[in-house]
Amino acid sequence: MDRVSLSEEEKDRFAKALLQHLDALYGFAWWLTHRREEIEDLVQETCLRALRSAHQFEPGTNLKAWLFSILKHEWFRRAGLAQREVLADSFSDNPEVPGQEWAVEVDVIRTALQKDLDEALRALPEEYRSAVLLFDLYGFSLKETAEILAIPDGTVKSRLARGRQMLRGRLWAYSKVSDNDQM
Amino acid sequence: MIRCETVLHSLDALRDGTLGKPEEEEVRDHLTACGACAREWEVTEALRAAIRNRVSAPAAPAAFREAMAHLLARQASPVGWFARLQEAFRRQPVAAMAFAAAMVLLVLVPLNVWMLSPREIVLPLVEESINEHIRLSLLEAAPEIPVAELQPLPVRHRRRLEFFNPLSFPDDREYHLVGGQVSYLLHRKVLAVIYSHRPKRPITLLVIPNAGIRLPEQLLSGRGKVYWATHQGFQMAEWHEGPFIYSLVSDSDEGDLSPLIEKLQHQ
Repeated sequence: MDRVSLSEEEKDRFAKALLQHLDALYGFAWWLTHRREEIEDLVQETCLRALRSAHQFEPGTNLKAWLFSILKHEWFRRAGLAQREVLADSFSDNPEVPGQEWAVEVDVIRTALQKDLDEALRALPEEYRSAVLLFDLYGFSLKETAEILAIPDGTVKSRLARGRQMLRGRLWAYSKVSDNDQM
Repeated sequence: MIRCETVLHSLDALRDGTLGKPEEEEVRDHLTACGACAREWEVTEALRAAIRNRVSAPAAPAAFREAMAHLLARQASPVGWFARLQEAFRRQPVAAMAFAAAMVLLVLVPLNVWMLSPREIVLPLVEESINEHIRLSLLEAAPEIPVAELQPLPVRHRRRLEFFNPLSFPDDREYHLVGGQVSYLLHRKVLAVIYSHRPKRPITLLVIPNAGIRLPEQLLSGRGKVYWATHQGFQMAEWHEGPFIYSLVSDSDEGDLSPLIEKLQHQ
């Protein structure tokens, strides 16, 4: 749809399509910031920017991914964050899961409480959290995740691996605290 | 033989379905054969399932959704004046209807005046002139002309003496100006004065701003282009003079009015 502008009817249709992704955008913005005014401002700006740039959207591609990339870009802009590469070993304070207890670990993950999962995700550095949320929660492909985060595919893979590793460590730690509380 | 490091790096591409066919088969074969990589796959799958099934974020509040729907609709279709009017009717029907009525009047009133033929203009002028003549004639005392009310008249009429001079003829015993006042006629502020002529034969002169009124050219006769008419037993004479129409009404005949017209047109 790379045209100078859209007709009113096309824009109207596009606006309706945007609204179908409002909950997902709102949810993703919630993960970026918990402040309600900031969430609403971020989502509103995302939608308005998308509508203004509707002629640049390619029909047949993933509209939701396109919207998420606008939202992520807007968030970076507001937060004054530079899109940067994060070294996989720059966070070494996360507990590791002992290798021989993998069967127990699967059990821990399967029985993890929602609040523990939320807390573990919230505790992740933003770069890892975004990668995990986009790929594992929102179901974007590697390519789409890379486009949204404006990073190479390989970086997405390493962020996913490192982010999950940290999540597993936290869930494992929570389960041990819970075991101690019960004793 | 593919290495574990390569397989672990390919697991998300396998989930994504973006591995090539031979590479995918190779990774799957490795997962069947390698316990460590299979465990990694299983743990990550469990974690992904937990995230998908138990992690959630709040949905957009209803008020925000409604506000966004309104905002996007407005941005997508900039509202024209007609749609704005429709919206105004929907939100504030009484105020919007009053506004619409005012707009209609604003259009129709000038249109109505424009559409009227000269004769149709003259008839109400004649009728209202007669009514004003009757009203003034019935007054016991001659009406005074308040100076402050003379604003619509030309500069020379703004002061009482200046005003009376051109319309009164002190040396003339036949047409004696006895008084007058500002009245309203055809929705205009007009000057109405009354002359005594013969006993019980008063003559009323109306000086009317002529904006929107035309006397029919084809009916204007004689020197000074006067429109003559007899209506309801009254003799009428009307003519243009600058930005005004002068209208004389009397139950005298044409011969009684002509000298006065002559005087007024040459004052």
